[in-house]
Amino acid sequence: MKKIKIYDSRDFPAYLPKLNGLYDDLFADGKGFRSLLIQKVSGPLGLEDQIVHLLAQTIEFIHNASLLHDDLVDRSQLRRGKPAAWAKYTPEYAVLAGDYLLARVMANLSRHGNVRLIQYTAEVISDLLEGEWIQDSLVRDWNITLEQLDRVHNLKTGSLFKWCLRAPFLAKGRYEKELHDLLEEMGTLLGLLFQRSDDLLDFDVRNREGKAVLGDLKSGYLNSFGVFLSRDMAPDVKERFLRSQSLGELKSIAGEARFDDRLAEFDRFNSGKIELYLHLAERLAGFLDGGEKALIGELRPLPKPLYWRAT
Amino acid sequence: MTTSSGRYKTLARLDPGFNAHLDGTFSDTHRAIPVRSMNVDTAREEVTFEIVPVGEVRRPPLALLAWTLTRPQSLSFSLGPMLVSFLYGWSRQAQFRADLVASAFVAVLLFHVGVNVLDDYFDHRKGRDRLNPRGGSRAIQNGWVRAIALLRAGLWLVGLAILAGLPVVLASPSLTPLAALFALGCGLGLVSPSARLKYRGFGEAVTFLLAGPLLTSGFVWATSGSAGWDYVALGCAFGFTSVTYYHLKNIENIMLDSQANSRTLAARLGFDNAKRSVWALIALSALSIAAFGWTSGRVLSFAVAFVAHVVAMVPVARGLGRAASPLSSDLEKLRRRGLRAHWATSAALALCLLVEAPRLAPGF
Repeated sequence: MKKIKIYDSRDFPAYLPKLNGLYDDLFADGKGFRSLLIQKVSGPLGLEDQIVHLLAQTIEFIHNASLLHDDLVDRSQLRRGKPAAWAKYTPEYAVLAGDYLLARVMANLSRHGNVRLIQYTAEVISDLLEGEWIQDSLVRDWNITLEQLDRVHNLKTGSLFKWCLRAPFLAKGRYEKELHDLLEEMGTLLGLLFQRSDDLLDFDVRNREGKAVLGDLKSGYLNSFGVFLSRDMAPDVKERFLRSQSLGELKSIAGEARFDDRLAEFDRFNSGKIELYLHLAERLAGFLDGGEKALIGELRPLPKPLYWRAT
Repeated sequence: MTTSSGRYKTLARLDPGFNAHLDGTFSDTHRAIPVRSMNVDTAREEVTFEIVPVGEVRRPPLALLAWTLTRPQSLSFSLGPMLVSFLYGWSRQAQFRADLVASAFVAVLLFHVGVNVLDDYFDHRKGRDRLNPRGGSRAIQNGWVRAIALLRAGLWLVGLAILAGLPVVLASPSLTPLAALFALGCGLGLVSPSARLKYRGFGEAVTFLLAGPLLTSGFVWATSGSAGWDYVALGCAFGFTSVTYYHLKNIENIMLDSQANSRTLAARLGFDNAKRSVWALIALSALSIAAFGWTSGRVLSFAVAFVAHVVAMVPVARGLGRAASPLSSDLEKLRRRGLRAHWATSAALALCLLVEAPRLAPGF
């Protein structure tokens, strides 16, 4: 499956200073997982290359727009090991560049003309922003529960995975409610597994990409594994846990054995989610005809590498 | 279309066996535990169950299970108004009939517990508890009981309540049957799958009436024949306090209610205004207590109750003001404090009347 070229400077006005430079940096290093997912779903559905490119570009534009805004909201200095856009250019340019990507999404989809796809995309962008808003309102809430976090992540992360599964069907003119309800549930699970895996990186678990650790905690945010790990902790221990400056310090406060036990429990819990996803993938087969059934073969292997970060 | 694989089974609403799985009657050896959904529409139209052998379910001890299902901590909303209006009426030498008092107490408490149990059942059937991981008793979601058992238990409790209340209805052939019918209708309307008054904007009004003036004046009228605006005023104090708790609960669920188009007061006001409106509700209940104390001549005792109420409720409102998010972990704590405040207010009023009664009602 070849990597789709998401960004082309010829699609953006050259007279806007620094815009293309900003986008060159932004789109240079991304993994493009979401556009890859679009290709995996679109292939068995037999969508034309032009449509696949439109969908892939749409989701990557939305995702990267959210990254531009997210880095500014969180005041993150780095993105993918390089200075974040707001830090390298200006906060104003980062905001406007994100807005511009979302505007291009709407313009491109409108030109394509599928009203249901446009409507659904607009709803997903709303969900994404809602998730960001709610997450920002939860900073320094150290007693948040996993269920509450899951609702935020379903909006922020899950919404894009749901779009990747549903948009190709919408582009093909498949609008059956039961089908889309099922894709929603599958997308929710993929988003959940992706987010929880990302949260584990913050504790240096399966951190092959060398992401900086404890970034969430230092930003005032208890992520899903942090919630799981600190559950039932004595108040004084939890206070010290939340003030940890290094992973070594955190593990010594929480206890190495507790850390390992909770990690094993977290992994078992999420393995249950993978099993549930595979069950729903089987159900999806009932909605597919002929060559479309190859989609099941594309979707079944997804959650394991997503969660376990195995290549 | 039914799909089974591994531990999971998904059924759509129109699939045969859907209701049997939802009610738990599909098997004697396994429980069908509904899997949580975060998507409002899918929770209503199809359900994925985790099929678990009964032997694998870790049930709590029977006493704890019964406590969890019946939620006795919520009985303050019916016990408090009845007890206080009885003590007040007695201090005013109302001619209570002991048999009717006992009958009314038992009937109302049984009805309250029955509605709690039925509420669990119907929220499960409607899919609401699949969306809200903190809603209800979680007894069905944990596999502790089958849903059908809750329905049967709830109907039995409501049936027993009607039987227990018959002496009261038969003894007062005038207004009591109408009031009882109204209360029954509203109470069941709160939980019934088609009416669902609480999600259509009537929850606050029904709560105010059933836990307030209808209960206080209805109880005293039915068991002693006495009536008066003072009982209505007393009921207003309880009504507003109960609505405050109800409102706190709806603030805690504001995101879910808004997404599901449930028209609670909190969802209509929005998060910021819903928090501010708690101050108005506290003020209304406090003023009702003060007004009742003034008009009934029980200034001292109701001043004590007024202070107890304000001391219990103001920290709740202030804590709510500081809650920055509709998913804040503080909201559940504040709701529980609101419940304790209702108990505290009821206890303070009852205690004050008990202390004052020998002076005001010789032979009390």
